[in-house]
Amino acid sequence: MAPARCLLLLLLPLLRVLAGTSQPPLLEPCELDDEDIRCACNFLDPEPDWSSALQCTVAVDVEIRAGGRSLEQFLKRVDLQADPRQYVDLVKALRVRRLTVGAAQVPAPLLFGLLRVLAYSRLKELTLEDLEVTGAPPPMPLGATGLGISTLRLRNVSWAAGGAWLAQMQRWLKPSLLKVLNIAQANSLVLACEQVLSFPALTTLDLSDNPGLGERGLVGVLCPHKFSALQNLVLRNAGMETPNGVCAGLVTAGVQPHSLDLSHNSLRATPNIGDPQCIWPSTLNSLNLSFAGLEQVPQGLPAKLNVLDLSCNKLKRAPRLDELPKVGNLSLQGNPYLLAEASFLQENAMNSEPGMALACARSHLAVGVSGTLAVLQGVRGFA
Amino acid sequence: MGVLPGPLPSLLLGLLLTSAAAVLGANPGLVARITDKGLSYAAQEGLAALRRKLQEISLPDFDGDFKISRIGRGNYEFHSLDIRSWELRSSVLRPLPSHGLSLSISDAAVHVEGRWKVKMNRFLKLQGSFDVQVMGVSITVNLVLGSESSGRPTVTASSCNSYIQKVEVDLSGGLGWLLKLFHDTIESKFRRILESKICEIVEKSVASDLQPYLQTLPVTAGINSFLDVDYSLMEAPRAAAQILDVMFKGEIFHHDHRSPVALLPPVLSLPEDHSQMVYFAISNYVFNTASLVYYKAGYMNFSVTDDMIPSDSPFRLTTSSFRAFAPRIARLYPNMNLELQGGVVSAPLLKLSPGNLSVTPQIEIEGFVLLPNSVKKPVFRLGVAANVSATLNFNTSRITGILDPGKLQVELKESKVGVFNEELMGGFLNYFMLNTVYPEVNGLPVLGCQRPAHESLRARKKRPQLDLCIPDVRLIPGDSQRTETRTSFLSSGGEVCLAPTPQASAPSPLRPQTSHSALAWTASPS
Repeated sequence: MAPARCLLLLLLPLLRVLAGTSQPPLLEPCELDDEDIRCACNFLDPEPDWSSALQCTVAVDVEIRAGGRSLEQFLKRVDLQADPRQYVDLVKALRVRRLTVGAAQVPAPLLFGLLRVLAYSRLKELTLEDLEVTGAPPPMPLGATGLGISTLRLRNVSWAAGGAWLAQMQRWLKPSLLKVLNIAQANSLVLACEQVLSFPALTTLDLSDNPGLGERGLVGVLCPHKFSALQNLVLRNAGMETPNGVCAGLVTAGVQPHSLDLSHNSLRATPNIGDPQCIWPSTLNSLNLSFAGLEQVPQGLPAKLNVLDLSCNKLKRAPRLDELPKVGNLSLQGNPYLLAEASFLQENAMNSEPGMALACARSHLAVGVSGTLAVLQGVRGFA
Repeated sequence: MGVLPGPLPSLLLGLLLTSAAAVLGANPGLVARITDKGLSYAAQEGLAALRRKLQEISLPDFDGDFKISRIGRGNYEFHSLDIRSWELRSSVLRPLPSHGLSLSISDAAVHVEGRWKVKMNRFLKLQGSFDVQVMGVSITVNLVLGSESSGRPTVTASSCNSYIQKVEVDLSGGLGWLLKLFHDTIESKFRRILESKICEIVEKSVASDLQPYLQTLPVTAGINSFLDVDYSLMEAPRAAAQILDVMFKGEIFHHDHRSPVALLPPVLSLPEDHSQMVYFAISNYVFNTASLVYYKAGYMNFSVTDDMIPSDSPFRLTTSSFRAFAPRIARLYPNMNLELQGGVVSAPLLKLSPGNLSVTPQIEIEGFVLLPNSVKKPVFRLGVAANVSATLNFNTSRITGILDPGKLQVELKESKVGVFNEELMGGFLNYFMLNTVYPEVNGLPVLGCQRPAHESLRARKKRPQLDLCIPDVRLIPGDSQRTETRTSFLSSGGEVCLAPTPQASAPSPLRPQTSHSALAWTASPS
């Protein structure tokens, strides 16, 4: 289903012409699918028909892109201090559970006003993409309930508030409900930790696609004692260098994840000289080091793991037992030494070799293309 | 509220005396209770009217014979008797258990003038004028109140007693000195005659004036241009030790066509309290009969088109705007207007419970697309359930109510245009009602208070009018969306109209009454 959806989005204009219906050839910015589940809006025109978004009130998945324009004009048209009782019933009637807002310059009062309004809805997942948040947030209204989302995803969002953005945003959410936080392509991940409240329910923190983060940056993001419930830490393409360095970061931050994903980083097998051996948190039982360009099994891995993924690296030889920790499920496919063995052993080497190489290559392609959510979704559908 | 002015007590008295036959076993829709306090007030206020009426009594001529020893016989005649004035000091009107009313006037005085003639021994003729002061007159008359089949009251005088304490006769004219000799005899004769005459007159007046007048009283009255109310009596007024209850039917019907009502009035039970003067109890039967009339006459249907939406509203009654509720409608019918036609499914019935009124109308709305060829195509049907309730408060001179419009619940009955987000429709309707409709409706009277323009004053006087307005609705922002209604009693020229007044002039106690099925309130002037 997912590839079909991304195809639809990319070929939207073409499809309309091909559909050959009796509808007027005018392009509507918004499109609701046949099952009334998904509604996607892309306001590209200089003077778009905003009312087209009315169709999305029945949709469960809503995506709204504003074509990169400034939304300053809406600030005058909406009353941010309006009594919520007037619109509570209207908002409650919206069926949206997953919302994506993207491609705009939005004033902070408008963004947080939206969060306040949506607090009465059934929204569970919010994704903000390609946004530039300008200005200062509005004062928090008394007695307002926060937006009860369980998943928050940010990709390429820049904040006027700099490092204080998370603390600001948190006040408009219900931190006790947030389970998954994704921050990708952030320009600054140095958070003002003393202002951040704790996330008592956050189990998954995904900082992928922040090439400039690095192990030092990791410590800046993982505010101490604020991520006490963290179980899954995903650091794909996050500028990590060595597993040992990441371990040190985890220990400094005091987080104890169960699973750590360091794939798609350019990892080095040997730690920096002078870095002490790090004791991994005992809770860690799954480590993903695939697509890391490792030529050998890195040093300083935890002693015992349930899952260790070293697939699609550049291992030239089979790892020795003393190099590896005690692992329940070890994955080594896609490494050069295995390909060499496979081509030696199998008759139709032509089929298997390109197949495996293709699997590793396709994933590389996906990571390389950034900023196209649809394709990424499609790949995730595959993977 | 102020003092109840003159006409009202007479209206009350008139209302009380309008009894009608009882339909055995049926309950009244409206009960008026007047206590002994109220009756004495009415008696006091009615004294003036009574005085005028009594002044019109014509005393008959009377004559007789007399004999004076050693002088002879003769006969006297008193004629052209004319009552100059009555003085009524106190009157008491009391309910008489199992009978009706008892009226006693005590310590009254009458001043009669007339002419006298005396013929004696066939040659002596004297005449002159006289002046009689009758003092200490007491009259007690028991009236039996009943009702007859047409719903009108009946009144009969069951017993009458009168007593005159003293009579002073002043004769003038020829040989008055002679008659002065017979002063005592004349006075006592006068006394006896008057005593018997008074009761005769009262009984005759009741039978030939009051009772026929009661027969002419109407049992229906107009409320507005098409509504009439039937206030005939269900049974004879019930009198107990300190109260008199009058049971009215209270059925509202259409002026042009009256059809039988399938509703049963509930039992009305008034509280035992009799510290106030008047108590009114009105049951939901009255309101529900009105509701039935409005429903049958089609007043509860409505139609909304795009031109009724204010021009500055971003939301219009078009298929474009309705994409919010039915996303596909604009694709099936691009750029067309919509029309909503709706009405209640059945006449909404008012439910009364202690201190609380509620009504739950079920409305059905059908949406039509106005096609270019002027065809109206139905595209969806919604059921809307409303729950409107009001809590009444009584304080000093005002009845205030808090109206809770409740939340409209919208249910989708049918859609020919795909998915329909009925919860959003419900939220939108609630928003629209609270922010647009209620403020518009503020201050509008719901029933009457506007006389039909074509009726002349004379015609109005012929057809007794009871202007009844339901208090207006005022939206007052509070902690929840509630409205407050204000009303007070005004009386002008025999009509009782409930209308909003900014201030009440003098406080007068209004007591709340609650009963399981009736609204009751009391009034007493200061």
